[in-house]
Amino acid sequence: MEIKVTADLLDGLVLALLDKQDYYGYALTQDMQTAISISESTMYPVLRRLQKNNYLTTYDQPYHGRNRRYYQITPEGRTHLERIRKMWGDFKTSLDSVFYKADIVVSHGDLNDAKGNEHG
Amino acid sequence: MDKENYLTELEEYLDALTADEKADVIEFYNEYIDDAGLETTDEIEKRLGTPRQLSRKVLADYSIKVTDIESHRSKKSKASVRSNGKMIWMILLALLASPAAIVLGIVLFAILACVVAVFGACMVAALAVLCTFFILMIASLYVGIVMLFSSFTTGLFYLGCGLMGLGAVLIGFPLLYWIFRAIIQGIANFAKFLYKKIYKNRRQGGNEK
Repeated sequence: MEIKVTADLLDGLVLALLDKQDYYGYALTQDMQTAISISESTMYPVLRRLQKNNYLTTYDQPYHGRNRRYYQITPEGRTHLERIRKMWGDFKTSLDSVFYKADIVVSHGDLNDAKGNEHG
Repeated sequence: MDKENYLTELEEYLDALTADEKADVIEFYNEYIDDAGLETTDEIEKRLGTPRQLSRKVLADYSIKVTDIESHRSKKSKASVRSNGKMIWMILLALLASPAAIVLGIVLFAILACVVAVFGACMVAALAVLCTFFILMIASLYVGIVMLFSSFTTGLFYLGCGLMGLGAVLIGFPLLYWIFRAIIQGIANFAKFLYKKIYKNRRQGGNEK
């Protein structure tokens, strides 16, 4: 059983990866798939959406005689990433409070467990 | 090459997109296939799905109803590559244009037929009148000549009538013939014009079908 990752979260995950470094399409898909199981056909629409909203830009670099398109986060993208991080944090906290009936602030250890379960 | 076939087919399913958008999609998956080292169609489809499935996901992002494209897609051959949107629009136009043009054409031709019938009747009537004049003329001339011997003035009178009749006939028949020809020519031109108009619509509509 899998929980469907919403478009917002997909956007956030892509931006979070791009925040660390520029990626080309295939590598970005690979790294995304270490966190969640998404299909390859999902990646292009996400990237196009982010580009349309100016959260990322692209540039081309030659590679072994052919072209490689790289994706790069923009300042607006970083702002949007922060928004999604906050949204996710709030979301996680409220769900955790129901799932685990925790009245206390959860520690980092519990957070990792919760994250692992949700991505099961 | 399997990759080329796959991408060509994918491009067809993406017909509804603009040329730029289409190029971006193809570029992305072209690179992807290369970077992932996918070589056979099987390998590609295992990862990306069939071109149709992949196009759905892409088009969903463009908010295009895939059902509209697919219902039309089944009629087209694989080889042709044309804009679906344009195609659907033109088919619509053709559907709108053809029946209307045919109905309009029938109506116009009916009117034309009536016009021809009316003018035909007029021609016949005019012809009848002229024939009457002709007969009267003959009769008058005959009577006139006969009367010349018995009553000169009466004979002259009838001769006069006959000659008048002759004049009328001599003017009338050619005039009538000229009018007849002119009207026939006019009707023929109008008919040609109608035919061209309707045929033009049908030809355009026919091409799309």
